Amino acid sequence: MTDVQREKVEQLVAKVRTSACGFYRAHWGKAERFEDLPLMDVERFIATPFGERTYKVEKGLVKIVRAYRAPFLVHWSLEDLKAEQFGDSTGKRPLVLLSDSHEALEKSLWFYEHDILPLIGEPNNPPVVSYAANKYDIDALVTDDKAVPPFLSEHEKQNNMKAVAVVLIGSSFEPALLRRLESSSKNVTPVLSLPETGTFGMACPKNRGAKERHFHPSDNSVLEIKDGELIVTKLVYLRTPVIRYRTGIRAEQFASGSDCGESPFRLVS
Amino acid sequence: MHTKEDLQNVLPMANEALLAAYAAGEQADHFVFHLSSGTSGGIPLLRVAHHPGGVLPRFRNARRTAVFAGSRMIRLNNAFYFLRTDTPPEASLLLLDFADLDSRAAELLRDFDPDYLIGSPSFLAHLFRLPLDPSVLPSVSRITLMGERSSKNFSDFLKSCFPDALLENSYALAEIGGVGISCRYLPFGQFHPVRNVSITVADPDAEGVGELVVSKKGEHSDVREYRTGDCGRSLPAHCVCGSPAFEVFGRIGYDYVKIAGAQLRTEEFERVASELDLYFSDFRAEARMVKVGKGERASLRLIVAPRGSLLQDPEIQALVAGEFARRLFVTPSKTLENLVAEGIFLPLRLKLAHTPFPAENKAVKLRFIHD
Repeated sequence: MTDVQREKVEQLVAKVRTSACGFYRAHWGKAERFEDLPLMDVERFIATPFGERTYKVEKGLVKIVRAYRAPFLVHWSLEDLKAEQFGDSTGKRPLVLLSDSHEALEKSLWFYEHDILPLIGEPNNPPVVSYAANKYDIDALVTDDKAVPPFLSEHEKQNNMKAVAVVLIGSSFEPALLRRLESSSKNVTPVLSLPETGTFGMACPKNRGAKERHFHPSDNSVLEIKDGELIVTKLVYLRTPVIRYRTGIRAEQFASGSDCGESPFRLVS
Repeated sequence: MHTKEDLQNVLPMANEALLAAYAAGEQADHFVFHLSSGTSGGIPLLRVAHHPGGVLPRFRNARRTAVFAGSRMIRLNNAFYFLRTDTPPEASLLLLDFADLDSRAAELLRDFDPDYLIGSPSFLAHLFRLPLDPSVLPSVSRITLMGERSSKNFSDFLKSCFPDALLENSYALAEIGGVGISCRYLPFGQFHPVRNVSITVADPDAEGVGELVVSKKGEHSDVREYRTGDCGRSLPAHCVCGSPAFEVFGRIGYDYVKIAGAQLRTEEFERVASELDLYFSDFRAEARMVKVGKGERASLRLIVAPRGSLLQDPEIQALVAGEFARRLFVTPSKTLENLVAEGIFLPLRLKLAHTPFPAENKAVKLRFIHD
């Protein structure tokens, strides 16, 4: 963790600790140092009503997270949403095609917040999505591993993806799919993200096309690896802050740095 | 006048002009896409709409709005207006898909505690079948029905669940957006055109009923004389609020079927069905012309989801079919029973559905069958 990150983390923890909301305080007990704070997990999000893990109230979007054993609500203010990071290949005429509709709507609003007009697609109707993508002449595709294969099968019948940059969002990335996308599209940016945390890591652009992709933390996140699991802290005071959150993603640090000078990690299947 | 097929040809130029304006630097949040689903038949249609100053006043006072809509694009467009409207600073928006209405929906909605519900009637009806006790939504103070024709029964049901809530009906088309909105003085199914919209009726019959034709003026994206595929009429007198009004009967060939000089309306079927709901909980009606000897007669088949075992008895089936025909008005002054007696219709045929009707985004309760 850099000194700047350390300072931001400490400010975040202090703000959360003194908030009227006691969600984290009750969990942390007397632990003081960031490294000693007990890890947070999704079960506590599920078990705690939305209003009891609310640290601030701002205009925004509420979404249902369905990726786990029970659904729960999370909220993204427009400001926080705008600060999310998806790399530099999001285009000017993007198609947002994600299997989860709440994620798709949230990412579409991210584009509006960045003054980019998004086209949103229904993944269960590839011919119509392809038709609309063609009419809009998309230059970027924001997608995930479930939504993109049927779309490609349909779209590539009559269209070329060579001018389309792909942002692939998920918590794991199938090498065969990455290879397929890298061979057919302009470039591919895998972005690590969970619905409840937002984005927290991104594939290193320097080793694009490599057999094994390296990942870096996003600027707004601090990542730790504990017992082989990626732990994320978002350096943003979210409605429900994300502090030492267990992602369930297996990862390991590289012993040496990458070409870009940062210390990367790799995902472990 | 433009049909959807015409627009398919005309729109690309308009779309390209707007997208060029966007590419040239005009703000992204001046534009939205509209995409028709094609669920009522026909082809999907993509349209770029230009709304540089568009806000939706309905979001102004809501703190926690839940939108129920089948199309992602419609949900996104609601979010688009929500962003741009001057809402309370803590306002939040929950956008729900049909897939969200599962056994956990009641719990999640209780957690969200909406004060404003926006949705299509079939979505909201599905929500209340979950089951969901309206008491878990104590803060609801406003409901706007949109996206498809609502039945009077359902509107009455919502009023009984939320007696203190303001209930509005709106009339919108996926490819155009908002067209009409109800007001407190208008009866059920009647609307005022929204701003910049004018309504005419194509091919009106003696009662002035025909296909609704919409013209909508936008800064760069006028829609001129668009045939909606919906049936309705302009109302001769202005509403007491002073604004012009029109009435919508539903989709031509689906919610509104003209056959053998009769006008079959889903709303009327629902009225009669509600009177006979001791026997069945839901129905689908099919109208067709059939050959009888050298001529043709209209035929109506009613498929019903029976309640309990009463309708297993053929005598009770006959009784219910007879009652339905006696109560169902198919012209302003005549019932189905009258037209059967005149030899215009064959006697109503009743059929029992062996499984419940599937929950659908736009349930087609009445349709004309082309044999």
